Amino acid sequence: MGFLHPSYLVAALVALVPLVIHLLHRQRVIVIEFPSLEFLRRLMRRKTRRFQLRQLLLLILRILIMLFLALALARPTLTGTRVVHGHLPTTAVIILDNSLSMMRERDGEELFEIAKRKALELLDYFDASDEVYVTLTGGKPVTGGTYRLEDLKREVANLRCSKIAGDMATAIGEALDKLRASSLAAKEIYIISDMQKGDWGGLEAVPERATDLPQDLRVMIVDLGDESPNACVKAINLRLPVGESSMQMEVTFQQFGRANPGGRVAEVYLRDRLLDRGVFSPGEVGSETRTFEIPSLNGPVWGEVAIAEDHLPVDDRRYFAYSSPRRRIAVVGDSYYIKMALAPRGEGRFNVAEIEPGAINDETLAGIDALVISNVARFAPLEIEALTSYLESGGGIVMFLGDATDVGAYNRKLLPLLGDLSIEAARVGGGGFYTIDKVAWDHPIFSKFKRGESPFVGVNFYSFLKIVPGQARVLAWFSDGSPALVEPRQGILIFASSADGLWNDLVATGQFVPILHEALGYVSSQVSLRTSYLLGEEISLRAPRASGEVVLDGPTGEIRQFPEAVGQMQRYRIKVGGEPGIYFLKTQDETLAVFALNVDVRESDFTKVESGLVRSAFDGAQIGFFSDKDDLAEGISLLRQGRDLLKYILWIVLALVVAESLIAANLAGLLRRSQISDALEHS
Amino acid sequence: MRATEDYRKYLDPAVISRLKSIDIKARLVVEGFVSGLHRGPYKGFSVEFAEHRQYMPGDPIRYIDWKVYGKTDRFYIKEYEEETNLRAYVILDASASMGYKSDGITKLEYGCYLAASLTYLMLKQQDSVGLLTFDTKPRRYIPPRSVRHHLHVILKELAHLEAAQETDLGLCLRELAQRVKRRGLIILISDLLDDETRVIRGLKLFRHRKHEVIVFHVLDPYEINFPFEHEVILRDLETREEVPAVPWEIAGEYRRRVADWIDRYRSVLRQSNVDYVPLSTSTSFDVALFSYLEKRQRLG
Repeated sequence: MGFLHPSYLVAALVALVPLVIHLLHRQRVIVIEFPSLEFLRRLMRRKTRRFQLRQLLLLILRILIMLFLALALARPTLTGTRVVHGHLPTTAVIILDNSLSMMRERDGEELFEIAKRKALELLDYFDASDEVYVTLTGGKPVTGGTYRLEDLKREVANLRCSKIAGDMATAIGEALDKLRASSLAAKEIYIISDMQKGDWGGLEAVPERATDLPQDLRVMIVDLGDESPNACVKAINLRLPVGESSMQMEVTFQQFGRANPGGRVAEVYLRDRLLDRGVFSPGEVGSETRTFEIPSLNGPVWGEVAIAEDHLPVDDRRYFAYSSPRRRIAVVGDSYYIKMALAPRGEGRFNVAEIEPGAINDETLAGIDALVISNVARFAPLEIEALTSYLESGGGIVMFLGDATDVGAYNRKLLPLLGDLSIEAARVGGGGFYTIDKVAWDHPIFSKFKRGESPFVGVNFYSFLKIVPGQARVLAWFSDGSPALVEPRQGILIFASSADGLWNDLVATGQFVPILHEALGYVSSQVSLRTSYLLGEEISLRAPRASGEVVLDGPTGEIRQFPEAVGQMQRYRIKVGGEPGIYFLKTQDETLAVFALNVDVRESDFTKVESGLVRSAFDGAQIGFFSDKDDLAEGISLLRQGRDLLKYILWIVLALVVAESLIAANLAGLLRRSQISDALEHS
Repeated sequence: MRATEDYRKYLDPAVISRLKSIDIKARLVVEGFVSGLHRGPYKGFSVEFAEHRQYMPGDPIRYIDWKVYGKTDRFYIKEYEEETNLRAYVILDASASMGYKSDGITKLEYGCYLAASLTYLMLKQQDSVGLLTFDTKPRRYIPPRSVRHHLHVILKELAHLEAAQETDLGLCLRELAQRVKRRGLIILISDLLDDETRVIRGLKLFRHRKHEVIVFHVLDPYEINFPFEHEVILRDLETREEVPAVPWEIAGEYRRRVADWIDRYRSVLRQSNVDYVPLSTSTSFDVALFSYLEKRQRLG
């Protein structure tokens, strides 16, 4: 048992008052000489004993009432720790939620500022004997245990809220690691957060990490959150329809939490000029997707979609960018049907080039986003080298096998380069035909097809080479169960049949164009077409070699970049956690790439995580939940000392008072009856 | 009327206790008592002539010796040496319990005043009076005499009497019964705080020997009513034993027991033709004196 206010225990001395009164009263009991006790002796022995017993009982009750009142003042707490009171050297980790959702305002103040104030308040409860760490959900630990508290407070005071999504699970994991490494007796975790559900994703993994929780771990959670409504621009999806030159931009607006129904104005800006305006009405809760047309423009294109600002303005604006809508595709081998499918009139979303078999090298592959290999017999060693460096730089490949495929050469030279798979020598087929009825619907290349009906419906396959997938993922199966389409690794797709009309009638069906587009769109997106990223995400950009200094120009200014050479190309690894907006990778003379950085809209949903999930993450530890209105000092004391017993003590006091009153009333009644009978006798 | 009123106040124990001399107390009590009577008690007892004395206003005219008046032309009264026919023994309990007083006078003081008053009254009536004081055993015995100066002997004894020792009333009554051969009036003044059976047996012994017995049972008002309000420790005056008492718990039962005790004495003693007069120290003396006179008149 511990006490929140142990100094009040001195009040227990008041319990001596009834005892003193009792003793004084005993001293005051006068001795009276009486002629004879003959009539009294037996009478008194019985009655006086009962009276004295009652008196003793009253005395005990009164002492107990005083003791329990003093106890109530001292606020006893029940705890499993060995510490009764005082302060043990403590290792504490304060996890400060600096995720995007903490940027929202409440009563004119940013939630993160309130969180900082709470953190500073918490730091006041530690001294030089403690090890205190402050960890951010979107960052690394701020300081170590030997750090001076004053410096730590200064750093906390200077913290700014990040605009990235929080990762509470990781922060808790780090905190537990810190506590395990500490040799100090007491171990505490303080979490100051809006408890936003998105930040706590992956929390299920914490218990595994926390199976060996430090003994007597105490966790105090200061919940600053509320589930207020919020609207955001959730997603922007750029599409280049087949055969069209203009882009279609699908914008999804999302309303989280219950809000007033009614439309909200959305504006689309292109290159800083208002392009379009519309009203979206997602209802009280829900989302709405609207499509905007973006004209074909040369060079880098960027813009933003904005809605009226609410109390979290940062997610009311979403940026988009693309450097070139036309992806550069090279085809080697049987290219007729493929070229027809990709650029029937020499235009469209793909810019198609043809490479002669044996002519694959760094030069022919330079600037190519995706390479289509169709029924090529084999590859020369130099071609294998060029392909190796092409793949390393992020290039994608879509491969069709066929009657010309030299299975042995493929198995020896090419396939090891692509992944862990092989091809059986014997061709399958000759009798009837096969169909593809089963596909991996969760794969992106099938995402735009009507679910439930095979994208290959109506296509008959007469021959194919049997692929032994090994570690490769099978994305489609022939009707005999053989793999029809495999993905050895991301960005590489291999069809087991051909695209020349000999082994199947795929090229003659309507399925060929969309399948090929989706496949190439998928493999080429690994390279450069993806132009929208999340803040804090690592971006890998491939660009032609540039002469001169390359800088990243964004909302916060220019940052010099140092690329690594990959073949004929250069790769830039960029990680920006500052401001959302449009970023240009450029030299003094030209723009190499443009991309948009946006906030993670998981942070826009202020729904709170279930407390049960949080409790399960710290199963076995003492855990206390507090709001920002609660007294932190008391909260800490409660956490350190355990369960507050005040109400139980007060109940006991009440019971004692009732018992005392009943017994005292009984005595008073006796006295009164005695006096009444006296009066009657005298009358 | 004024004189009557003035004397009657001396029947109040509280008033009489303020006087110094016990003989004055006795005289005033009796005067107070007598002044309340319609007729004087002095008649028909004396037979033997003793001397003449000059008539004084207030003397009954019927006692004037007319022969002497005829010879000397002066009024003389004939005085007689009375040959008394009553021997009274006042037995006064002087045990420690008689020393108790709650307010006013002790039971022993009350007993002394009563004994003195009775002695005065009886000597006035030419009866012979003796005194026995006792506690655990007879303390002092003064044989009965009817001469006037005997009053001073008894009053002197009463004046110096102090309460002490325990009581053994049964023993004393037995001893006195042995000692008193001639029939007479036994007047017992006591709180009777002794073994009830032995006391009654002793009193019955007197009756067996043809004595007339009158018992003045003197108790303090507190002994009867037990009016204590606060928790007290009671100490036995005789044994010094102490017992804590919670009055409001036991008062009712105590009063009932005391009343039963008095009723038992009254009932048993009535059956034995013993006059029993319960008195409290606040009771006016005329109650006791009337009781005596009634008894005396019955004796003829």
